[in-house]
Amino acid sequence: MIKIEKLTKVFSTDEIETLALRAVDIRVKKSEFVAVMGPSGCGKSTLLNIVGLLDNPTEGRYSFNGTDITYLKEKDRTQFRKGNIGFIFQSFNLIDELNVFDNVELPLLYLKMKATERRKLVEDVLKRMKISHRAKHFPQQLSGGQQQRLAISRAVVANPGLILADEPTGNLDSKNGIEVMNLLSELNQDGATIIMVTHSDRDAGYAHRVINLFDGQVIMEKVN
Amino acid sequence: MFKNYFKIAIANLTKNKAYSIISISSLTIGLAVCILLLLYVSHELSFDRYHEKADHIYRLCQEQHPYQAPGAARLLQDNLPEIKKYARILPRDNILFQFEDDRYKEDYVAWVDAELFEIFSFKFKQGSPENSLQQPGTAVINEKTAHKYFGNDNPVGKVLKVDNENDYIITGVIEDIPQNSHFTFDIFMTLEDGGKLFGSDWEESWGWWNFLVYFEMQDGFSKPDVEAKICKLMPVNPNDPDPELPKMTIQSLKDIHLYSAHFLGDIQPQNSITYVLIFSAIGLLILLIASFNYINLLTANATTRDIEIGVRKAYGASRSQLAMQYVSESFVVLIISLGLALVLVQLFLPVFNELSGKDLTFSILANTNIILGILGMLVIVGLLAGWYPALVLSSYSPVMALKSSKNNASSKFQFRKILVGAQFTIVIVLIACAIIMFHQINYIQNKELGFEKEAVITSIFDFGDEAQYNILKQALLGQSYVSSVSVASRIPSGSLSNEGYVIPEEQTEKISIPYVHVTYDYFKTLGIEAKQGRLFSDQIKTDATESVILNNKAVKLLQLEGNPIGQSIKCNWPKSTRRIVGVIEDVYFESLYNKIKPAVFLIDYSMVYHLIVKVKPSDAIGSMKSVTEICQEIYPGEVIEFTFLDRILQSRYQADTNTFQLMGYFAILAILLACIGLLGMASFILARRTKEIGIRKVNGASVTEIIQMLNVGFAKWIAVAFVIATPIAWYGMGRWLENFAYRVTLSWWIFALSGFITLVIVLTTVSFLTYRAARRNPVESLRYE
Repeated sequence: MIKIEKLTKVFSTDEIETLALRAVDIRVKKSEFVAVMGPSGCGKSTLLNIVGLLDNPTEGRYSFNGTDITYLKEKDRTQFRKGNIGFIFQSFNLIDELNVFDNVELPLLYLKMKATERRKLVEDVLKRMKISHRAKHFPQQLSGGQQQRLAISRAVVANPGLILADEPTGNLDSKNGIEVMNLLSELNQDGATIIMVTHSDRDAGYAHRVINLFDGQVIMEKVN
Repeated sequence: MFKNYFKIAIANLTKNKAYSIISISSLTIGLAVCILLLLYVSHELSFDRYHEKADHIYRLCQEQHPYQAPGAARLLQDNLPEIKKYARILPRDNILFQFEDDRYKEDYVAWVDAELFEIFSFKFKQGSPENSLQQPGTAVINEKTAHKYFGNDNPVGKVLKVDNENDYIITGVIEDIPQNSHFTFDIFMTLEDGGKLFGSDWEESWGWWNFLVYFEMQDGFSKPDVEAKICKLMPVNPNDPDPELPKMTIQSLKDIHLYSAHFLGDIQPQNSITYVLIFSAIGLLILLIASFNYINLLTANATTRDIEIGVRKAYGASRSQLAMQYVSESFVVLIISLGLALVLVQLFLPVFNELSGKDLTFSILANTNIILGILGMLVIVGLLAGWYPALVLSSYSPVMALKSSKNNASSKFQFRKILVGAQFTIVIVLIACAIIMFHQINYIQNKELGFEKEAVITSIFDFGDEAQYNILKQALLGQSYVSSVSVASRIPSGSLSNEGYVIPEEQTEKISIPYVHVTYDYFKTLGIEAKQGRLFSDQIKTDATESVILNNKAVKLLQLEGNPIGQSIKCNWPKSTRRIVGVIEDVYFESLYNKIKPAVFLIDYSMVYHLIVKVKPSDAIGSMKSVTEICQEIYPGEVIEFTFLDRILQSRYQADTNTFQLMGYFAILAILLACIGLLGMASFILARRTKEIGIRKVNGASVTEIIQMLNVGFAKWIAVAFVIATPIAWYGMGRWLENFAYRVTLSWWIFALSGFITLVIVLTTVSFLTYRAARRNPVESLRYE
C-alpha cells in the first residue's frame, strides 16, 4: 500500500541544515500495523508527517496504492488526505471551541456529506469508543483517556484506509494507554492500516512489525 | 515607581514593534484629525465674539432675510427704550474707487452710520471711533486698502473719488477685520450725506430693503417683548384693510454666523451649525476609532503580559497600582502620538484650508481654549484607552495570570469584538454619508436648470442711457464669437428679491410676486424658450410697455383661467397694464436650496444692471477677454470685469462641495484607521486560531475552506455594524438633505453599497492574513504543541 524509496528530508533554517531523514526505504502492506520507534529527534514524526501528506520530502519517492504522490501541491495533498488518512496525535489536537460531537464531525464536513449521514456516522463511532454520553461536552471537560478516544473517533469516523498515530499514549496513564492500544488493534483487525510512532515497548508490542529509526536512518526492522 | 512603569512601557513598545506602530500611527492620525477639526470648530464658534459689546449687539431680521428699510432703525430706537444705539450698513460691491491714477473696483464696501464703530470694537490704527464718519463725505478704510492706494503714506486726509462723482476724505484706518467676523468690509463710508446719494427722502423709502440694522441693547431687556413691540411698530400698507403683522426678530450677534441658515440671503455667506456639528462628530468618531484600535491591540497583546502581571501581583501590587501602570503607559503612547500629530497638523493645514475654504493658521493653537481642548482630548483618550485594559488585566488573580489561562482571553475577546463592530459601524456611516453627499452634489451640478449656463458671461457696470447700451450691444453682436447680448435686473444665480405686485384681469386683490426687469434677447441669451406664446421681440413696438411674460409658477399663483396668453394684468413696477404674451417653463433661477418662485418678466431699461453675453463655447475665455476690451472702449470710465455664469452658480454650492470633499477624505481616513486596527485584530485572532486551522487542515479542510471560514467570521461583524449604521446614516443625511429644496431620495442601494464597500475592504484586508494562515503547513502549527 505504501512504498517509500530513498526518502530524504532536510530542514533548513538561516544558519543550519538539519538532515531529518536520510534515504529511508519503507514499505507498508494493506491492513498492516507498523510501529516506528527510536530516540527523540531520530526523524519519526517527520516520517509520519510525510506519510500523512502534511509535509513534502526533500528527495525520494512516495507512492500510495500505486500512485506517486511525492510532490503534490498543497491543494492536491489536501484533496488526497480527505477520507484516506486519519490522524491521532500525542497532544490530541482537539478544537477547544467545538464540542465532542462537532470535533468528530469535522472530517465529514470537509467530505461534503449530508447532515443525516454525518450524524449517523458520528453517533456510531462515539458509541464504539464509549463516549457517546459525552457528545455535548467540550474537550476540556473530558479526562485524558476520553480526550484521546475522542481524537481516535475523529481519526476513524470517515473510515480512512490509513491511520497515523503519533505517540497516541504519550500523555496517558497506563490504564488509559492500554485501552487506547486495544482500540487501535481492533481498528486494525477491522482492516485499517496503522502506522504508529511510539517510545513504548509495550505499545510496539501491539504492532505486526517494528521499524527502528536512528538519526534519520532505518537501523533495524523486526517482525513480532 | 513611575520610572519602573516608564521602563516597562518603553520596553513593551519596543518589544512589540508591529503593535506599537499600529497603535501610535492610528492614534497619531486620529489626534491630528481631531486637532484640525478642533481648530476649525473653535474658529467657527469664535465668530464676532471679539467685540467688547458682543453680548449686547443684536441684528434686526425679517422672517426670510436680515435686510431692512433705511427708516426702520430710527423708528424703533425712538419708540423702544431698550435700544441704546443703532447702526445701519448698506453693503455694496462693484464700486469704483480712484486715488490719483489708481483705479480699482472694490467689492467689500459699505455705507454705514458712524455709530457702527461705537457698537463694534474695530481697532483703529489711525483716527478714532469718535471722529470717524460723523461728518458728511468721510470714509474709514482698513490697512490692506490703505496700503493698496497709498503705500506707506499716511492715508488720513487723503481723498478717494467714488464712482467718478463723489469725494470721500479718509478720517481713519482700522486693522483688517478679523476673519472670524460675519462681515468683513474694506471701506466704510458715512451715511450722513445719504440724501446726496440716494435722494433727500431716502429714509422714507419703506420698500428699500437693503440695509442691515444692528442695535446695542440695554442690559436685561426681554427679547420676546422687544420682538413683539417691533412687529407692532413696523409700518404696514395703509391701504390694506387686513394687514398682516411682519414677523420681525432680533438676532444676537453671536448667533449670526452659525444660525442664519434659514435666511435666503445674508451680508456674506455664513456657515451653519449643521456643518460645525457634522465636523465635530467626525472628529469624535475618528478619535474613537483610533482609541478603539489602541484598546484592542493593548488587550490583545496583553495575553503575552499575563506573567508580568502575575508576578507583580504575587509581589504585592494592588489592583489600583496595576491600573495606574496601564493608564500611565497609555499616556506615554499618547504623548508620543500627540507630538507626531502636531507635526502632521502643521503639514496638512494648507490642504485642510483649501478644502474647508478657511484660512486657519497653526498659531491658533496658542489659544487657551484650544490648548485646554487638546489636553481634554488627551485625558479622555488616555483614560478611555488605559481604563479598560487596566481594569481587565489588573483583575486577574495572580494564579490565573501565571497559568496564562485561555478562558480570560475569550471574555476579553467579546469586548474587543464589540469595539471592532463599533468601528465598522462608524465606517459604514461615514461611507454612506459620503455617498449621499456625493449623490446630492452631483445631482445639483448636473441638474437641468432650464437655462444654458455654459459660455454665458456677465458683468455689472453703469451702462449709461439706452442709446449708449445699444451702441455696446451692436458692437458686441458684430463679433463672430458673440451670439446674443442682453441686460436685466436679475439673472439666474441671483435672488428673486425685487417684489412688486400684480392684479390679474377680473380680480381685485393684489398678489405680490418677484419682478425681473429685462431687455430684448434676455431669454435668447439664456437659452430659455417660450412654452406658450412668444418671447419679447424688438420688432413689436408694444412689447416694451404693454407685454409681460410669466413663468409657469406665476400662471398658477395668479390663478389665470383658460389660456393665459392674451390675458392682461395690472403691474406696479412700473405702473402699467400689460398683456401676457408668453409663458416660460419654471427655470431654477435661484439655487437648488430654494423652491422655484413665481416671477413676472417685463421690459424696463431703467432697472437693469447685469449685462449678459452668450459667447462661443469653444473659446469662452478668449471671447471673454475680447468682450471686456470692447466694453472698456465704449465705457472708458468704468472698470469692467466679467465672470462666467456657471462659475457663479457653482460658487453657490461651494460650502457643500467643500464639506463633501472633506467628508470624503475623512471617510477614507476612518477606513484606513479601521483597517489598520482590523489588521492587528485579525493577526491576533489568527494567532489564536493557528492550532484550530492546523487541525482542520489535517482533517481535510482546503485552503479555500479555511479562508471562507475565517472570512465569514469577519463578515458577521460587518453585518451587525451594517444593521446599526443604516438608521444612523439615514437619519443624519435626511436632516442634511432638508437644506435643499431639490434633493435626491435616500434609496436603499446607497446603504447596501456602503455596506458592500466596507465588506470588500474588510475582506481584502483580512484575506491577506487569512490566506497566509490558511496556506501555512499544518505541521508547523501543530508541531510545537
